[in-house]
Amino acid sequence: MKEGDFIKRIVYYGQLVALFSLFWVVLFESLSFWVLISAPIISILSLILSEKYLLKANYYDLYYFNIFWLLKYTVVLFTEIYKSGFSIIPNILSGHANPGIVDITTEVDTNIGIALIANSITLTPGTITMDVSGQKLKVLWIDPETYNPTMAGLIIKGRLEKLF
Amino acid sequence: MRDLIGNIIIFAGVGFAGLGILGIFRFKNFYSRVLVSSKVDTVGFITILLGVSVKHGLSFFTLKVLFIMAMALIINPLITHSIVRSAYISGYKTRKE
Repeated sequence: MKEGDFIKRIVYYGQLVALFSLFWVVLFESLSFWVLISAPIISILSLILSEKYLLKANYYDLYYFNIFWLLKYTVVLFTEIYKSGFSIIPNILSGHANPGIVDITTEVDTNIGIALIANSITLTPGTITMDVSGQKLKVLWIDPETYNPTMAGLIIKGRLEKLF
Repeated sequence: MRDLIGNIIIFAGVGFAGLGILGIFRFKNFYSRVLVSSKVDTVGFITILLGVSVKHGLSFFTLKVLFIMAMALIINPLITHSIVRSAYISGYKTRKE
């Protein structure tokens, strides 16, 4: 293990513990001494136990993320959701729909990245991921502007993919 | 003031959900319906929850609502994906309306 990798790992587990502790405190709805003391203990315990018994590898290798990056991604995702939410209104009002299945490829190569992209595509109204194999996604689109994989990929997931 | 803004956002969310339901009744085929229905469960739901959290200000209640929103953002696409995938595997064809 390299020196930089070790620090990255510590920061990653630190942010996981912080998130879990926040969840614990919010569930108790109080900031009393015992809740604040028990929060990190329970978080670390649940991390250790789930890593030992439920996962095949550790969290760092499987689900690496950065909390600030995740916030940025959420903002972009929300703007995309609202943009396509508005763009689908004419389809509803006019009753016009011509659904088609488009094949696109993504440049993201980690498993969690592909899952994130696929689920974000499903979250935006008007597009649904039907199938994923490797880096190829099969997307159902309400009114395909093009069936060309590259162009369709740019329109469907262009801004989301740029963040990776 | 905050109350008013929250109410406006909640009404916008109800409007989005209503449009989605209108779409479900308007379209006749499975794929178009399922595509439009994601307007109800993502855009409408998120907007209503945002309105509720604006209305209540910063409190534990708001944080709980935001956690519910995060859960919905994670679980919603999984359900939609599994429904559409099973339809695709059992041979539904896409049709124009």
